[in-house]
Amino acid sequence: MNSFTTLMLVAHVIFGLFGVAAIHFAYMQLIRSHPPYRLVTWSAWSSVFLFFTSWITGAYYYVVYYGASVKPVILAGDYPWAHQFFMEAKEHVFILIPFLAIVSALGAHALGHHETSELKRAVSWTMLLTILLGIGVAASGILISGAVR
Amino acid sequence: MTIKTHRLLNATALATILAVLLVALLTIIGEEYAPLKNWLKNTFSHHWLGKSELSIALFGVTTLLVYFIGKDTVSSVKMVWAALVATVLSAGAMCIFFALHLLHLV
Amino acid sequence: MDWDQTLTLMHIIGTVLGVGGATFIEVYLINALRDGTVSPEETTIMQTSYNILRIGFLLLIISGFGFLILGRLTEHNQWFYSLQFWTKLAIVGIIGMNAALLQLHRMPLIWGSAIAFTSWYAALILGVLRKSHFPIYWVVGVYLVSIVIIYLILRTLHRRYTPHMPS
Repeated sequence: MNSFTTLMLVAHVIFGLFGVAAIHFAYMQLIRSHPPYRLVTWSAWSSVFLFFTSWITGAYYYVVYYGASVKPVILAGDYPWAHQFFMEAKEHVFILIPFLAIVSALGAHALGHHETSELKRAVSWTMLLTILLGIGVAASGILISGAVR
Repeated sequence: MTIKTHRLLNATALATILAVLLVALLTIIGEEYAPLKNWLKNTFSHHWLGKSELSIALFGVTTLLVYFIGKDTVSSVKMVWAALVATVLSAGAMCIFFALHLLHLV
Repeated sequence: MDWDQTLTLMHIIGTVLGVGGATFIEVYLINALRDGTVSPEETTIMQTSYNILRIGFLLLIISGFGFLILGRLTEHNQWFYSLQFWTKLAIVGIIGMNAALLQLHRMPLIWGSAIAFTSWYAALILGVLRKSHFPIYWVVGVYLVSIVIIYLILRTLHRRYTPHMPS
């Protein structure tokens, strides 16, 4: 792996991790009895930016390097299911996360203008789903990386 | 909530519903019907880039259309819940499909 | 200092802040609730402890992923499939989930405290004993029994020192 591809892989993981951390922070603030909506909105928009950056950097690594150099190693190794299930599911579920993060951020923005308990509930569940999908994708990434041997 | 915020939230929620369903459909049908996956590969250089770019395009176009010509009668709460349910269904369908594929059941 | 040393240092600092924060929160909570009310000074101290714990949690997660990236790049990734490592990850997940449930008032305070306190110490102990191999059911069993024991201890302490506390 050349240094640019390495940089893209590292950036993909770090931006994705910080994206989950940002939406997790937004969620923890939103479920307070008196949420600081500016902070929630700011944090949720940060997660949108981080997820899109993770998407772009991950795309480079995945399209340029993974298919040709990593996938064959995994398929020939002891854990082919790491690609056949976890990578296939991860690469597609990942695409859903930034869209859900945008709905979360706009929902938080709307709540900042006019708070209703129904919308707060819906937006908090949307954020929670974004976090859970992010954790699932991260856990799959660990299993895929561990299968490269 | 201002009318603009309400509209934008509804527009992105509907755009999310369409985008996530498109990803699931392209993924599952693409695995079962090779010409679709090949078309994605040939057009976008990689099937995954095709799904990514098409979902972003659909999201953007839907958001703009609904924001500028949509009605304000739909509840934002319902739209956000619908986006959430669509995402769960899309992610669930893809995971179940790849699990069945791994077990050679599809 | 190389990447491995830097990440180890971050991981240790994160664990120290997390375990220390979790311990002090329990002590302060019992102390603050002794007279049935939490004063503004006590609230400030509690908030500071929570912030220290959050910083510890963040450092732990960042350095943990740093180790994963380093393991992947150096192809020293056998431990990615270790059950003990996944147990530690699950415990970190439980810490996060427990914090959210406490915030939502869906978790009784003493049970939440017992889970947080035990989980932080469990993460520390699993980190220290990462080179020892214990059967996974044993690790999970000890963890669950420890939560119950800590709950009983905390309940006894609260009954004795904070009789005004709403349960």
